[in-house]
Amino acid sequence: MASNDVPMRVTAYMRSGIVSDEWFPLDGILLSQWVRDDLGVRDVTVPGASLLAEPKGEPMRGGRMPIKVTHNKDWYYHCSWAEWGPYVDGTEYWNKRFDNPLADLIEFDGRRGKIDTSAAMYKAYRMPMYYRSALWVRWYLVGDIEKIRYLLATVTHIGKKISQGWGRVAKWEVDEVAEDWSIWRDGKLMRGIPVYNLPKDVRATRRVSYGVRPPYWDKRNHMELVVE
Amino acid sequence: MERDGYLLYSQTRGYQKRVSGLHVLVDSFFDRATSPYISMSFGKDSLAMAHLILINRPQVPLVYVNCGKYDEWPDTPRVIEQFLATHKGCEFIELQGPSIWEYYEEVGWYLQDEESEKAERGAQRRYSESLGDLLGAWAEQNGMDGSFIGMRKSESRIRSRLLITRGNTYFAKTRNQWVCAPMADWNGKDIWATIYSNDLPYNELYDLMPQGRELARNGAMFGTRSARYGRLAFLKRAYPELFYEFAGTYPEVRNYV
Repeated sequence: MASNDVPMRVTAYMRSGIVSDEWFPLDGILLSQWVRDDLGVRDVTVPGASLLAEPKGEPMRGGRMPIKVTHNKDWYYHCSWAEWGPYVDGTEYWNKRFDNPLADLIEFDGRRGKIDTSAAMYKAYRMPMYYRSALWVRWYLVGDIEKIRYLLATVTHIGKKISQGWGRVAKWEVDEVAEDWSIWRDGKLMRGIPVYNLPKDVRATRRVSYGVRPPYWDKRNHMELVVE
Repeated sequence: MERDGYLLYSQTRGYQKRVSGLHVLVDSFFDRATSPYISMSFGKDSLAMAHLILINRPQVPLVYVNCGKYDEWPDTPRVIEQFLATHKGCEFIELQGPSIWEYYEEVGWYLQDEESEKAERGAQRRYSESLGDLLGAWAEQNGMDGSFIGMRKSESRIRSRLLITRGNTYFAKTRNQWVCAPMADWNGKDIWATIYSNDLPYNELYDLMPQGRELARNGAMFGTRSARYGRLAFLKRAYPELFYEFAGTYPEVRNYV
């Protein structure tokens, strides 16, 4: 543990519902902030190039975050998954449909064209969005509290579909706490851990193939985890 | 509408006429086919149909094609067990069929009904035909000359067209057997009135699906038909472990949640 690593509790007080799964890890949000802080805003960077080593022997960009790491066969951060405050679950929909009355606005470069609403650009959608409206969401982690505060200071929305207003954060609270609850709390798992990390005297009831560290979408980070 | 509503509906004359009409149709089907079977998926339609047929004709065998972990919903084994307990002594035949996963492994992941490559279209065609081929072969081997299916007109335009063209009883030349769809004109309300009034077990996914129990379908769990109408989003919501297993192998599915 680095000298300035401390156990902390991060709370997001919510203004709108969150579109995410029930686990919703914080280190995924922090990694996005960390990489953007290093590389700059999305508009000025090259897709796919963010974590590549720089030429002429310069150090790799992005890199590890100011969070304590558990070193194992598969390393992961000391950062819990979401603990939900009082909440209700709901469903909303987003729709996309070709607008027939506006068909004459499409340019086919002077030739005949066909509009296919079952594929490609004009494909129609009606997608349910499962959201959770919670008063607050809380995580526990161990790391550099000042850097975590700095990274969260510019996070205004969390989860999916933030362009539609989902996941709006009213305020963040980052407090130092006495105990490290980032992985275990009173014998209960606070995040997914690799199956082989589970102590022999603990019985797992729920397993899932999920990312062990961010980016969680990256297949290379997927493995069988114990979550309960 | 919920349970009480369906129970009230089950007492109406309209519903009673539907049920008596079904029994007349089933009886008349035996004039054409001497040894038919019931084709079961343990979805809501086939469940209601099988129950109504077995009340009067418990000797008709039930045939279920189990397509494995990736096609069958997690709650289906419980439904099967409880349904068979309700109809003790009925002849139950379980066949093993191919899962859609096998076709993904062969040609890669694709959206059903929106296949862009020739290989994908071929795989989808073979997958669509696999169930019928399996049942047809089994029927031929066992001297079955007819089947009851739970297909309804209100399920889709294609099914409606098929049943309007052929009628609710027809001879399928390719399979060389008679087919009876005794619920061709039934709607979702009739189905649920049957399930609730007879206290039948049903799959939990009908309580969970956002489109409501009357429109919900129990197709292949890892199927991608209607992905842009939330099928995969539902899978992620209701069965996250299975969704992430799917997404672990085919990350493209994340584009549809």
